[in-house]
Amino acid sequence: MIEFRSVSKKYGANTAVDSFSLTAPSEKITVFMGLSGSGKTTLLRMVNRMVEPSSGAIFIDGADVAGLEPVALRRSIGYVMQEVGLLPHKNILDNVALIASIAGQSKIEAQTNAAAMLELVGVGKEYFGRYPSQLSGGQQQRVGVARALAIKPNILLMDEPFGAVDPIIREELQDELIQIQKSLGLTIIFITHDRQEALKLADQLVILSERAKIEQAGSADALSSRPANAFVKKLLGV
Amino acid sequence: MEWFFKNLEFIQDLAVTHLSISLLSLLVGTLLAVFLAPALSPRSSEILAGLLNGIYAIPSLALFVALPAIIGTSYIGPTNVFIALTIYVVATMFPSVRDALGQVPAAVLVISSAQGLSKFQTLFHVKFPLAIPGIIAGLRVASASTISMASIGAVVGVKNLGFLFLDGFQRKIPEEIVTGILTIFIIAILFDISLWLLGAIFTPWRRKKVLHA
Repeated sequence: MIEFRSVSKKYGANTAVDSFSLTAPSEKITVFMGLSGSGKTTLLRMVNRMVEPSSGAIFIDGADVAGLEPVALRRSIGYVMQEVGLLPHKNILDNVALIASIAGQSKIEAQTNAAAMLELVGVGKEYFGRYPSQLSGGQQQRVGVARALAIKPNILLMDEPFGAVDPIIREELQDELIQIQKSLGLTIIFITHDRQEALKLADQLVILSERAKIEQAGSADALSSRPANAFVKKLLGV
Repeated sequence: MEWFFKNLEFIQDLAVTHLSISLLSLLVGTLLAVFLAPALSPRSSEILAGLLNGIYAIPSLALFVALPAIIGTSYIGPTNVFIALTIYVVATMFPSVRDALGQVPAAVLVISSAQGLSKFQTLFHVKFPLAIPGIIAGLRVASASTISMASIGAVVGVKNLGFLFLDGFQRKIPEEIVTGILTIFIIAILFDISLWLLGAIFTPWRRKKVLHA
């Protein structure tokens, strides 16, 4: 469970997030949807302390993240983003195995686990030795998800992970993500601009406007059948 | 050609001196640049780059002669030539290394941080490997200019291949001058090819064709 308690983030005179409070329940997918610049990425990065809140606090299963060591915290949380960010100089298997081996696992152990994760996300053995530039965008993002799972996290933070993938592959990836989330019992915060994606994935859908103001939060059904205001209506196209 | 074969042993000795002083300067200068570039803050790095550029503008002969006065070495001898050449190598390599380290795609840095890589781990596992092409490119320039510039050391008494120009000029032996030029040229080319090969070996991912499955 991830709890945001009146979290604010100011950059100089600009307020990116203004007193945001929300609970992302365990083993559920919480989707943040909103326009560009609504502070979604900032919210996500405060969970693993890549960004420190100006005020307020974030709790993971009751523990204030401000009291956790950032490196250890980040190594316990998977992070996936649109640009994937695979290391161009390492092959697919090593990309997925890197963090585990840096964190102290033996190379063989890390690679065995990485291979299992790659197969879980549908990347076959024939790809393991290839470099990222030899993969399509969809395959790269599968590797990105495998990399995030390789550290065996309970939490996955996903920043528009499928935003650059073509619609057909995108649906495949969404279906696979739902399966993986259920089978591993992951708690996910997922950012998207895509209303279909939001409605499909969300156990809890959170519609955000500027400064991460919550326009409405609830189940996808509740929001699409009873949008709270014109903004939600417009964003969800209902 | 006759002159060349008659003096083969002498030329070899000169070449060894030339090579060792060039190699040593390249090695030390590059190591210094590699340690300095990631260690300095952007501001001090900017200041150092400007300073080095200024030094680079000083003609090498002037630096060879001026250095002893500054650091108290003997006017004649290899030490000040080595130091001067090393400074020139740092001047070329420092900006190369710094810029090469800065070329890493932003997404790669974000994800490295998100995965909990420390600064040093990011440098070691991400930035340096990806900087290799840029560093090698800088090294190729530095190596050519160092090998060529080292010959000026002959003027301050370091008997390297540059001696062949001086002596050939003074005694009017064109073969000697041509030998000097060609030998330096060949050494520089060999260095360049080796560096290119080294770059190719250490960056196997760049040779793979971009093919989407």
